[in-house]
Amino acid sequence: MRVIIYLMKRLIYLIPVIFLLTIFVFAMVHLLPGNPADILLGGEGGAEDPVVRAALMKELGLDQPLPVQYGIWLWRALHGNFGKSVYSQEEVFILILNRFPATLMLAFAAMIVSILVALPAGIISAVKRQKPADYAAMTFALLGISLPEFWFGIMLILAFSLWLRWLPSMGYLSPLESFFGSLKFLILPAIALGLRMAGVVTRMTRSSMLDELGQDYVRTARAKGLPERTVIILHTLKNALIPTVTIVGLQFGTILGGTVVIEMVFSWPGVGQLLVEGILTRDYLVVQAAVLFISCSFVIVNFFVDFIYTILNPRVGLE
Amino acid sequence: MVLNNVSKTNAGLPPRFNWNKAVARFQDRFRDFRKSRLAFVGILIVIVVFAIALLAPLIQIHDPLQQNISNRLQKPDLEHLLGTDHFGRDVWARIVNGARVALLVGIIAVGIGIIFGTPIGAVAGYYRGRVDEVIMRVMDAFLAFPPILLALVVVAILGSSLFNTMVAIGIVYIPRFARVTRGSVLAEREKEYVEAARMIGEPNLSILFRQILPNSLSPLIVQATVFIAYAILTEAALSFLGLGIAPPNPSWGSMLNEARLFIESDPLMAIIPGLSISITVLGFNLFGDGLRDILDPRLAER
Repeated sequence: MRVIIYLMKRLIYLIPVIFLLTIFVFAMVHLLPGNPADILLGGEGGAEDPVVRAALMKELGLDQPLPVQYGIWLWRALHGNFGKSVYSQEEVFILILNRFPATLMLAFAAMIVSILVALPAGIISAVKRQKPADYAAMTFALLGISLPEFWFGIMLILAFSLWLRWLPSMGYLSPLESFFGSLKFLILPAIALGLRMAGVVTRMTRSSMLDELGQDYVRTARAKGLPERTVIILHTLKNALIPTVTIVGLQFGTILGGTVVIEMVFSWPGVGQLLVEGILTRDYLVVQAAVLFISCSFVIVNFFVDFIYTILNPRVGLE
Repeated sequence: MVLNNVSKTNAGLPPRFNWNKAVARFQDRFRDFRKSRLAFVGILIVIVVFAIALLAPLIQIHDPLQQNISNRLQKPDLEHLLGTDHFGRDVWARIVNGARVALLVGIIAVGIGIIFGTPIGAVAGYYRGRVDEVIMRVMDAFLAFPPILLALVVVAILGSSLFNTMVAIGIVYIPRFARVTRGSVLAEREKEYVEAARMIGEPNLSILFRQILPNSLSPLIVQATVFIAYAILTEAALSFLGLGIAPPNPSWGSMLNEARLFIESDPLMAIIPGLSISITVLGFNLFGDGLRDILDPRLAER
């Protein structure tokens, strides 16, 4: 019960954040120099046809005061109406929906890759403290947080696509068409994107494992004669995972941001690519919607991370 | 220093933050710093990168913007230490000047973050209550944007240039510094010396900015170092996307972007700027880790 109340609180807490997010995204177009109608029609000279311009002005209520405009914008956005792309003349919402699965797939794949690498690395590093395995894991973590992911991606392409010719260097195949075929395209970008998170999570896991290994209950478990493996996996790890889960949630934002760059490196047809192309072609309705979608999914993922956190850590609900 | 005479003129006041003592403490800990080999390597890298950036006009040998198409895509030799790019420009000269851009953007962006973020966080942490709620909700909304995304949005609004890149990345770090500052001010404001200052009737703002803030600098310094590393990465990413430093000016990120077209025939063109970014960021990260060990001994045993 307490957990449910806590989660409801967190859910309510989301409202002001998402509200402010929408204000920022809405304000974006109004912060640009020039008339919003011209900006939305592709910048100066974009609104050559006065009829089109007038229609847009009326549709978005651009002659009304700003709060009313925001209301109209939000109402339309809630109904999936983000307008039409100036560049491709397609519905922005459809464009985003078509691209979103690819981005989410890449982001989650990267997250899975990094957790699969980072958890064992962090645990081994803590257990074998100041042994070669620890130094190796720490070096890996340090490189993970220092290498730019897009460069790492290019180096992966160089090594695995151009030299070894094992994997395709760019592109995308839907998993609905061919699961293993799509995996081939997914591996390199997922590794490139997951590198930073792997570094951060390795460090976090190591330090929280070290914290827990120093606790009395671990000594008791050992004194009882439990095998070391049981002590570590059953007793220590569960507690050590609590801070790790939080960092995974926070790092998901970095991953989502990283998709923008990695999608450009691997020609991955996701929202990030759409966003960068939108900025370059001044297609601001697309930019607005892409930014809103990416940041909202970050907020929502963090809510779920909180949920997992509450399950892992019964103390939370009591506070 | 004037600060040391405080006890005479204001008898009974709690001791002001003592810079001399802080410096002495720092020197003390600096000795530990030298013991940590990794942190030392970090400092060394940072110093070398700074030196390269400062001395760029002297050590560049060639003009980083000078094109020479007949001499394009040369392999490294004595004339062109790192070869030439697709316009025949000297890669060494561009790397050396790219260091300037990277450090400039990194430091100024973090500076913007500190100048605006620190007071915001300090006020939120000190006054708490509704002020804190409102400020931190706004900061949370900023934090809901992944860093690169926020910087991209700002660049989309302002247009891409060196100055706008600094501003865009700076804005990313305002809420982050606000958070860190708020955290340490929250912890610091409960301490006895703050209580004492309040009882004597020292004005709130004076307590906050002259007593609490100087005492909560440690985490800020550590964060600043680490954020410089991130800011350099963000600048490289923006320039890589063609939305950061405008060509033909040398930036490691845009060099990497240009190199992609020639990746198969001239991989070195992509490897060199990437290594420059990585080594610089590694240096700041190692430096930051070392600083944290010094300034926060609680974590040092790890």
